[in-house]
Amino acid sequence: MQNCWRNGGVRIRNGSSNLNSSSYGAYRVLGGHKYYYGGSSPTAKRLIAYNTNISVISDVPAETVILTGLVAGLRTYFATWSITDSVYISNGTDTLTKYNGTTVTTGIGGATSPRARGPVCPILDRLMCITPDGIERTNPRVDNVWSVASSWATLRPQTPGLFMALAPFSVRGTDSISPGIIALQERAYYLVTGTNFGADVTAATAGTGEDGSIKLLDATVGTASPASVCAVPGIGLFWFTTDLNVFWLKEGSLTGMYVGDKLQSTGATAGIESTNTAALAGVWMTYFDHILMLSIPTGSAVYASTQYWMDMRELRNHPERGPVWYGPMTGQTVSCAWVENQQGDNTLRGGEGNSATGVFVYTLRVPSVFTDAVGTADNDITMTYQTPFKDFGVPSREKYVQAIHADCNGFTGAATLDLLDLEGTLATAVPLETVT
Amino acid sequence: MAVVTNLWGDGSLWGDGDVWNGKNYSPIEYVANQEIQCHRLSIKLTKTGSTDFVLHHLVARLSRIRQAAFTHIAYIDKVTPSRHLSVRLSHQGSEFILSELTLLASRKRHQPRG
Repeated sequence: MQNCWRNGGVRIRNGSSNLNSSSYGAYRVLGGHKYYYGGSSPTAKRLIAYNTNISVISDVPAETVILTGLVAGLRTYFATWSITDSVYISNGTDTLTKYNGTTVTTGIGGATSPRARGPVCPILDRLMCITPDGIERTNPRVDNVWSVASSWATLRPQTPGLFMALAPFSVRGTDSISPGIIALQERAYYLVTGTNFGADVTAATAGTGEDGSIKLLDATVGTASPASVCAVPGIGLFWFTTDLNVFWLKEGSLTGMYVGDKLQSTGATAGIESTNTAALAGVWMTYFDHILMLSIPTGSAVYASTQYWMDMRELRNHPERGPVWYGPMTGQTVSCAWVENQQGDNTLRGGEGNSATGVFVYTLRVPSVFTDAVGTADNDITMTYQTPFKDFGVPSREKYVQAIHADCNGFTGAATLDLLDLEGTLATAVPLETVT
Repeated sequence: MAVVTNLWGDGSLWGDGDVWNGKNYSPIEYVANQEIQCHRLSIKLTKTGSTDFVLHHLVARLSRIRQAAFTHIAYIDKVTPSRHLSVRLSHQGSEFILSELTLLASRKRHQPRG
């Protein structure tokens, strides 16, 4: 199922197009986000990170660099907090940065501004972020007062290692919904929950009623890929694990399971076992239009270039059959992807990962497009579909094949067939011709 | 810019597109003429291009009168009268996948018990 999927037949996948027709520099895109804000006067800006810059890329497209001087080449995360109507930018090294659509403010929180790892995450009336000390939190409804290695306000892991990512997650009881955050280490995940996270997080002791807590859910599975943590509506939370698999935490549940076993290759085509373990931060997952897309860097590449798509309609309607994956999808070198689906948008965007190609923003899975944009080039997509080996009900006899018939739609290019037996290829590049 | 396939019924009449067998129409049957013998057949379809492609159905046309007896090189024809049979399969040196192991016993040659 290379570069094709099942949707009313075996269908070649949709391709991509570039937003900007010339590169913004010989760098790779390190993060992207559509920042929706404005309250009763809604507006939005598309943000990308590359090299040392944060830029706004309009639909025209036109680039406006809003911040320079960041440490170069760091994977960058964006998260919008509705309470301040601002977007927060973190890369693990620079101090936390905020953009309100007009002004960029660095060093949020003053002298002890957190150098947040992964995206910040809201819960109830405050923001949380990861630092080397653990998970820090703000005072209620503000972003400039953070806990700093507090004895009570800083949440620490039960097992060794730094936290890698935070993701919003609600826990469902029989008659209740508890707001929470799933916090992930490389090989563990936790539930952060509570109803009162303290009036003053800089105080020496917790105030009356403070009940924020962190609970270990599993001490054997986590992630080193913050950009892989992905929520799917009605299904749950997914992430790419450090043992090169995909983990699924069902909506509202605290018990998860692996769903990526089918991507482990047993044949000549490499699977997710070929993921570059030195670049796990380059793995991304995103959900768009019923498909959960996983993209991995392979070999020595630091950017993702091989995608696998999981059909969420199958998982939702026929969970007993297990996950249905399509792939590998090859031809794109997209290092990050984000969904733009507010204020009339309904688009999946991606950023170029290969610095030799340059800084490009792409639209992914474009309807009626069957070429892949790579920089300024539009490359034809090659799909390959191979059937299982059939014995036609008579395994003990040698069959005589006269022809292969195919019912196809929209066929304007050259499709060819290879015929294979278990022992090898019998015929190659046999052309498909119109029946006359 | 990317090539946008917008040929499905974009002419003056409904369905009057440059690509007549578009998304909204019945599929067209194509054939790959190839006469060949096989035991277990897999078909790999490859298509390169900048336009849509949907495969609805794929079927092999076999000649019933030209089937041959099983001549697979791994076929084992052992006359081994046995009441209880076990098979031990060994392999080394390269990848090997065993997907099915079936015993085809001849009932005509079996020995009566006792």
